[in-house]
Amino acid sequence: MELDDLKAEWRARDAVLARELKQQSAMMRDGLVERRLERIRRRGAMGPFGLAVHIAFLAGFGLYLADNWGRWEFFAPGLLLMIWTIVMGALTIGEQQQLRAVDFGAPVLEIQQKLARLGAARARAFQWAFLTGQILWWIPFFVVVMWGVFDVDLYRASDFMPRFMAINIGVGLVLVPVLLWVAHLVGPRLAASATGRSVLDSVMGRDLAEARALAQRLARFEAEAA
Amino acid sequence: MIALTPPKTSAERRFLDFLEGQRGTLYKVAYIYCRDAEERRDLLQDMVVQLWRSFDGFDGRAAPATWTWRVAVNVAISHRRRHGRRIKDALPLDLAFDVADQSFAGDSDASRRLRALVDTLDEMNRALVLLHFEGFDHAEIAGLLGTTAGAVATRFNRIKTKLREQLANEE
Repeated sequence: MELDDLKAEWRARDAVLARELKQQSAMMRDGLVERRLERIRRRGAMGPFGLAVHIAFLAGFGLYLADNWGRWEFFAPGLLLMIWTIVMGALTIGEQQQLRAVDFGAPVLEIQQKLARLGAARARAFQWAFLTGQILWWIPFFVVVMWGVFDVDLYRASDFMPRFMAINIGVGLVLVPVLLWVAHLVGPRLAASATGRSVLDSVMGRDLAEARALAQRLARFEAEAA
Repeated sequence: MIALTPPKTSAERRFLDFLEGQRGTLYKVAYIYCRDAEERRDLLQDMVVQLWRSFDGFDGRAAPATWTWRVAVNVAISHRRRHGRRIKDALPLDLAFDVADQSFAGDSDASRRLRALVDTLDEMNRALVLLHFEGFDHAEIAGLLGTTAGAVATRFNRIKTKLREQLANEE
């Protein structure tokens, strides 16, 4: 028996070792995914407080609409806000469901692509919610709150008020596309910086940030184990 | 299993992910240098601790696998010289030692011969045999061990002679 015979024996055992370690890595990967998925679910859930606030808003708008049936100048902004609230709630739940549907047992590249698409969709939804909410919806919201809570009719509070509201809505309509264009220009630079990344993470949700961290971990895991 | 606690920092997590791919290398070095399973386990811990200490300084100039071979062999050589010192668990580790030990340490005729040969070799020659089995050529082995290709060739000739003598004695 020569050294090369021993080398062949070594190689054979090495192949068995590599196979066993690979199996063990696969088991560790599964364990990691299972533990992290639970955390992602917890972070993504709306939570009892969030759900209660959402339901309270819907109930409030419902009562307001019932009270103002036939007084269309008050009913219309209330209806717009209710639709907006429902759409936002549905979007949030839909996004959470999409994240839950991601198969973390799939190839890492596929997971990362899905998470990137989800992240982009969330960022777009947030962009629209923020822009329309801050710029456009605040006038109807103002009208509804003043009338519904304080019994103040803003349309007749002063002669200037209707004009003020019309100007705000007009300016908002112009500003939305302008700000979207600015976001399009600034977005990539923002995403490249650490601060921007952290802002985007909080915008897109902690559950998605957690899922992305898991995908990165799996990628490293697979690269090192390969 | 050596210890199991969640990694605390991102550096630890990166290191553990790195280690995941190097377990086979570490185990094989431990196998060559230690006959006893407990001793192998100790050496594995030593190698991991040393890798962790050097991890920050790893600049990527060498391939991660080559770097691991170098550190592991150096630790194994010095481990044998200062045997008895135990390094406490410093990191959350799961090196799958039992899995590796079961799958690698065979009981065939060739295994026994290999063990018998290795047991007669000094630290440097064990590294030579190990790296030869792993497919490194003389120049690469010389680079990893800080010697010359000529010296490696000379040592190999002596090892081969020793193996032949061993076989002759058995017969």
